Formats: sequence, C-alpha cells, structure tokens
Amino acid sequence: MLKKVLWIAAACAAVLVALAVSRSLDFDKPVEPAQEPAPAVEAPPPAPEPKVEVAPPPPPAPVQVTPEEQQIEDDAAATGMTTIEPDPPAEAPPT
Amino acid sequence: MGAYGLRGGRIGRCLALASLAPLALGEFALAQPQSPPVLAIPPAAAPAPAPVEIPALTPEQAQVALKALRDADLHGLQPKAYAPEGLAEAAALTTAQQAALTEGLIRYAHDVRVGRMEPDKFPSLWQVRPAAYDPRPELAKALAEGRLQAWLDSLPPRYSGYAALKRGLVRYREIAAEGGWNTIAEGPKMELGASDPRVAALRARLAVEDPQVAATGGAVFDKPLQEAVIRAQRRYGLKPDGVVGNNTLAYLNQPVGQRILQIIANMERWRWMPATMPATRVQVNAGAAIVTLFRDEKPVLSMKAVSGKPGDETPMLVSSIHSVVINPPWNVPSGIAQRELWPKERANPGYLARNGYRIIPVEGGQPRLQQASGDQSALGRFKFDFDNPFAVYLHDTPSKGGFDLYARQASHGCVRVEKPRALAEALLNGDTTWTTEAIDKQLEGDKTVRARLSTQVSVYILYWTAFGGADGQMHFRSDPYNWDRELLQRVGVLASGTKV
Repeated sequence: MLKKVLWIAAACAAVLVALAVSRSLDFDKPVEPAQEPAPAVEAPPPAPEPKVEVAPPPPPAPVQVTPEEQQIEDDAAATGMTTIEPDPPAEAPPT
Repeated sequence: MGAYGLRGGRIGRCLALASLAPLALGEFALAQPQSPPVLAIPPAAAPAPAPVEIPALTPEQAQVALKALRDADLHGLQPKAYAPEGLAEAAALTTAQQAALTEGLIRYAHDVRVGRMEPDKFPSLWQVRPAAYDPRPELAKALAEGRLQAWLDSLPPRYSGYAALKRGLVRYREIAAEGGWNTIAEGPKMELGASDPRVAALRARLAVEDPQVAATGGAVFDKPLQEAVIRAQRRYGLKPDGVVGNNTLAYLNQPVGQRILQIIANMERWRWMPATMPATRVQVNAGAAIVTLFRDEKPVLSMKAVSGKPGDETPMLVSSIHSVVINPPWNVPSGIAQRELWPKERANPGYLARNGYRIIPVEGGQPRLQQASGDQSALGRFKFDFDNPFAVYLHDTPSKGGFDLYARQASHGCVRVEKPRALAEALLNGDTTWTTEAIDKQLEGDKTVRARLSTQVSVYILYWTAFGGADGQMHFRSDPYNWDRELLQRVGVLASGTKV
C-alpha cells in the first residue's frame, strides 16, 4: 500500500516538475515574426573609371592577295571584264 | 580573195582532222552525248521590220531624247549622226522635227546596243557578232509607258569591261583637251641611276596617265621613277624591267588620239558580245595572248598564251570545249606542210622521220603528214577541242620559250596555252574517270585518248587592245592584227588608209 502511495506521489511530482518546466519555456508566447533582413547599406556609386582613350578599331586588314591571285585578276581584266554592272538607279519622273 | 576571205591557208591552220585522227577511244573514252556547240552564227539578213506605230514624243521625252543623242560621244559614237541639227530643247517640235528625232533615237539605240557594223561587213574571222536588233518595238513601248530614260540606260553593254572603257574615254579625252603629252626623243636606254636630260620629259609623260607620279622632279632616274616605268610597262603589256628603251618609248609616244581611237574600237567590240555569258567559261584575248578560266563568274586560273601571228590571225569566235585530247597527234594542214615542212625535208632528207612525222598517202591527192603524239608533238600533251569553222583549238606545246616573250603572236592561228595540265584538270574537275592519277598514268605513254567533258565549257576567243585593268588604269596593247584600224574604217570612224 505504501508503495502505491509513493508511486502516486512520485508521479504527481513529475507532473508538477514538467508543468514548471513548460511554464519556464513560455510555450504560449506568440511567435515573433521573422526579422526582416537589415536593409543593405547602399554602397556609394563606384567612382567613374578614369577615361582611357580607346583607339578606334583598326580598319579591316586589306584582303591579302597573293601574287598569283593578283596575276589572275590582271589576266581576267585583259581577257575582258565580263561581270555585269549593277542596274542604273531608277529614274524619278516618268519620261 | 580579200584579206579576210576564207582562203585555204586560213582554214584548218591547226587542222584537227578529228574524224581522220586515229584516236584510241580506249577504256577512258566516254561516249557522252554532246550538246550543240555555242557557235556564233552570222546573223541572216534582218527581215523587214514589221511596221511599228511609234507615239509622238512629249516635250519632256524630246528633251530626254535630245540629251541622250547629244551625249552619244560618251559611248564613242558621233552625236551628229543621231541628233537632228537645229533643235532647241525648250522649243516645241514640228512634225518633221519629231520624225527626225525619232529616227535619230532609233539609229542611236541600234548603234549603242549592237554596234555600227553592218552584218555583211564583218570579216569572216570576226565570228563574235551581235544578233539583228530592231529598236522600234522597244522604243514605242518605252514612250507609251513613260520610261524612255530607263530604256535608253538599258541599251549599252552592261559589262564592267565596257563601263571601264567608257570611263577611260572620258579620261583620255580630258587628257587630249589639256594638250595630250609630248613625245620623248629616242636615245640611249634610261634606267635607274641614269642622268639624262630626257628624264624630266619621261617624268612628265608618265604623270599624265599615272596619278602616283609627280610631273616635276630631278634629272636623275630615281627609284620612284623606275617604279612608275614598271607600272607603265605593265599597262602596255611590255617586259616590266623598269628600263626605258626604244620599245617602251614607242608605246609612251603613241599620241593620245591613238589611245582614244583604240578605246572606241574596243567599245564597239563589246557591243557584239552576248548580253550574258555562262558563269563557267574560258576567255581568250588573242590580242594580249592571255587565257582565263572563270568558274561561277570568278577567275580561277589564268595563263599566258601564244596566239596566231599576223597573217595567221586567231579568229574571234564563240564555241564550247567538248573534249580534252591527251597525247594528241598533229594532223598537219596541207598549207603548213607545203610551205614549211616539205621544204625542210628537201633541204635535210630525213627531217620528217626524225621529228616524228609520218606520210599518209591520199588517193588521188597530195600525201598528208601526221606527227605522232608524244613529247615532240607540236600539240604537246593536251588539246582542247571545240567546234568552229576554222579548225582552231587550244593546245599544249613543246616550245615553252614562246611564253617568255611579251609579244606572243606566233602560232598558225591556234592558241597555245602555258598551263595545259592545269587547264585540263580544271575542265575535267569532278570527272571520276579523269582523276589526277589517271591523267598521270595516261601521260606515261603516248597513247591518244579523248576525254569528253560531262558538261561542255564555253570558250570565247576575243580581241581586246584596250581595257580597264585591275589597277583601275587603262591598259593598251599594240593591235597586233591591225583589227582596230580595220574596225574603225568599216564603221566609218576612220577614212580608209588612215593610220590609227
């Protein structure tokens, strides 16, 4: 009988301890909203880079023509330049 | 027979006698259908033109017409041949003036489109000829549709070669208007380092045509002057050695009027050309002895040539190369045999045998000669066959030294080419039978084979003595056949006997 009473008392004590612990943990406290990230400190605009004189892009290198290719061009002219000239510009007013 | 008649000595100068040639049509010979050759046929007499109702010119059209006719000299034509006299641009035209202006337009359109040569005035060797052209229907349409200016602009040849001559004509007329150039006295050769009182005159002469040359300078023949001489020699087709001897002087001393006439003669020839040409073709300038192969409109191969000598001129013609003969024998034309080979045999018995000729009896006639194929064959290792009434062709030669000359008119009318192997490979390109190795193998022996082209390649044998060069300058040749003078006389620009 005594054993039973002791078990009940121990159980009650355990419940009381648990209650005390839960209270100390503030389980019923509302959850705080997540903290907004701190606004980033706006960095000052980067200092303008010192202006470097940029050379204009080099003109396209002239097409290298070998002496043999040049000779063929010269000979082609000598045998008659038979490429067709582009159309003349369209006339403005009708005639 | 006249100078340009089809006399025996001119026909068959390099006679192929293809039907008689014992060509071994062996394993490589391809029996392929031949498309008809592109051969300029002398146009038949133009049929009488159908009557065409040509509308009266509006005042605006009359102004356009008058301007075109008065500017005919830009095309080397004579304005007075077309523009009626006494017409004021702003004035209203009488019926008679309208008719005269219309007739002038018709004549101008004809001449600027197809040239001034009457069809029956073409010498037989000039087989590049224009088709008959009657401008009346086109003129009537252009007037009715209000597009006279566009039609006039469409008439001249559209080739860049013609446009270059047109620019050259303006330039050389300006030079003439400014007094032309002074002749330089003959004398010792002028070359780098020489001090000669004629150097100043040389400098001034070169400066007229060459914008890179300063007209004034010292009396010493310096490096820039030497470079200018080399450029001039290239423009005249001379050996570009930078040394001014009497030959170079002779070219420099041609008067500017001569150059203008040369340009006009060559512009006339451009009008005989077809409106378009096949993208792949072989072009020959017999006057400059140059051959160029164009593929897809681009020049891909060129070489020196040796064309016919005066008296055995290479004809102007259009045809199609249909086959390449490897290891061709030479069937000697009877004229060449009689004039050149039999006399050698008589003077040196055994000459014919030593040079590979065999005598082929001909029943009831003179025996003919055939030179065997091989290294000593006058046709070399390659012959490029195309149909033509003169039996001329392109071929190889064992006499390579002829290509080192700068005046290369030395053949009997055929065209000897400097790089026959390259030309053969280019023409046979894509033929799985005639690979480089197969050609090599064939050349190991002397067996004759005919390789037919799967696609015939047009060949144009032309004659240019003035042309715009790749350097933008006018280039001139010496008119080795005197065909410029002949042409200008036939179209009435020169009186007969005038020296060009």
